[in-house]
Amino acid sequence: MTGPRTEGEVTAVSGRLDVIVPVRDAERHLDACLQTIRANAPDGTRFLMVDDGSTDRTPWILEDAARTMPYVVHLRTDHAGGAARARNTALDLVDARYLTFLDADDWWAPGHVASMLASAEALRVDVVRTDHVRVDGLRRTPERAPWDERGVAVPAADGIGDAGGKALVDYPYLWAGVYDLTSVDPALLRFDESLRTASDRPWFWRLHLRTRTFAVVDSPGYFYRRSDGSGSLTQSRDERLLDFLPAYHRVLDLAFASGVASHERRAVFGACRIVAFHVKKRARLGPDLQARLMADAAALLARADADTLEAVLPTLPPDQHSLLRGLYRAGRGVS
Amino acid sequence: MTSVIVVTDMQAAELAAGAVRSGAYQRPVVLLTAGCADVPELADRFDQDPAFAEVAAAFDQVVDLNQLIWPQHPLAWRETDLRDGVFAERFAAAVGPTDVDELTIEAPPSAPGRVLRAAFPTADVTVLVRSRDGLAWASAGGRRAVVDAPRRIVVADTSPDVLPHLRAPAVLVGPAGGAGAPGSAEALLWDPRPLVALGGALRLAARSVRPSGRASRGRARAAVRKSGRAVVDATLRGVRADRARAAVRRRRERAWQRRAVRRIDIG
Repeated sequence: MTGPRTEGEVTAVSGRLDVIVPVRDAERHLDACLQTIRANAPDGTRFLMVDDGSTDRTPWILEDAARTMPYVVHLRTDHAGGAARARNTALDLVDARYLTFLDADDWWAPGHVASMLASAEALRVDVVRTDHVRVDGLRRTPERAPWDERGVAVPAADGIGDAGGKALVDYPYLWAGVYDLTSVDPALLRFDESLRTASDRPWFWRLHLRTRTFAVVDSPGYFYRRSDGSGSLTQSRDERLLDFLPAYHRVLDLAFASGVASHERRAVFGACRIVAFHVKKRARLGPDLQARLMADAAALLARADADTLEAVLPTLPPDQHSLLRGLYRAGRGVS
Repeated sequence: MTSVIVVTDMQAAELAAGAVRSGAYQRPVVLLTAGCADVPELADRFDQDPAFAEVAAAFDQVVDLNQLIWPQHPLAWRETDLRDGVFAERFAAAVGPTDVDELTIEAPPSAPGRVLRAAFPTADVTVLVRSRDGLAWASAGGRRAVVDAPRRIVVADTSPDVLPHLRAPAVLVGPAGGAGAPGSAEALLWDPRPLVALGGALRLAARSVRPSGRASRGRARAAVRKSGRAVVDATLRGVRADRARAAVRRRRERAWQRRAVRRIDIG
């Protein structure tokens, strides 16, 4: 696929919405997942469910679902390659005007998809985004997409903002969005398969830099399950967790290439914040990974120029300043 | 003047409908249905049960509690969720401006019952008993954490052997949901409330010593006003210890960061 499709190309041959669902060893969640699909399948919707090398009963459950639910397509990767690769596998087959994502352990409130589609069709923006509900066990916490104006088309770059506070570019929930493939180049939507976690960070930066418009809308609800065993890599204790560092190198690449000072400050702010977060949570890493975290974080922060770093630090909590300055100096080789 | 009955399944709804039909409640009576499946958004709602229409007809109004407390799950709903006032607003929008003077909860109560007790603190509490466990709760210690004394007990008239044990006015509901025989009424044992109040104050003070937070300090102060100087001193010692521990943690963290940064070798 090269470049966005014309509306004519899409409406002549394609569906209305394709939903990409990467699935791996998710048999205990698939019943609810298929229920939510049944309750959220407006006409013209197709679910591309990609089994990423599951070793449990997932392939059989998906096979059966594809037999009984004509709008479910069961895809398989030849070996477990991670969510990014699974999503890319499905992206190759996307053939609809709109695209969205669903994680296998999450669910939508009834009517969510229809509501998001109606918003996308009415607003005619490249990307429609929405809030979600984080689920820890039975406890739920509403998470608001950090944008106050609702239902209004806005230039996509406005979602990047400047250093400090929350910005839409750092609301990295790709399933809380609907993407219009007549205006968004599908190449922009591909995931970096070398990043085993945090691949959504540069993904959103790319979208905000290279699409034209977005809108944030209210919706009935996307429920994001975040608990032990949900597969959330932010809870992972292994070296994959450190992939946030190369992910933020990509973010800095994009921000520096934009040549916009506020974008650079936002990217450096994001890098500082996530470094401080992971240093604080370092106890979940072994000693070798802790040392690697510090060294790689120093190399990441050293990419900022001194003026940008000093402009960003006042927007961060004071108790992080000495750590971040220390890492910056170490990365620059200044004792 | 409204009666509110909260139920978590169809059996409780049928029992409540029987009690209302028997004339045990002053109108209007509002039924709050709490869907408590793991994922209520995907489970069948009460109104999808074919028998529910008949049950619903017994009430003046039926309101979906899950909608009132969205996005919270009824079993994970907490009293602290009432602080933002959203539940009160939604309840008033659904039911209209009214005082709730009787609240009926299931026994033993799950989260919705406990939180609604806090939402309507001046309402008399009636408990809905369907099992011996429920009766044991209604007539023994566990009950006192939620309600000092239920005004009435609504009990399914399927276990006549429990009747002698009832300690509050009872409304009996027959097996088919009709009214049963009138129950015995008196609260039989000594009033445990003074002891409960003291126990509560001491428990609050003990909790305030946790390193977690400022909020508990305020609650502890309120508690100690009732329970004396010794508890004040214990609480303040706990607060000072918390601060000292936090300062030590901050110093250790800064020292670790300095050492870790010094060891960095970018190559």
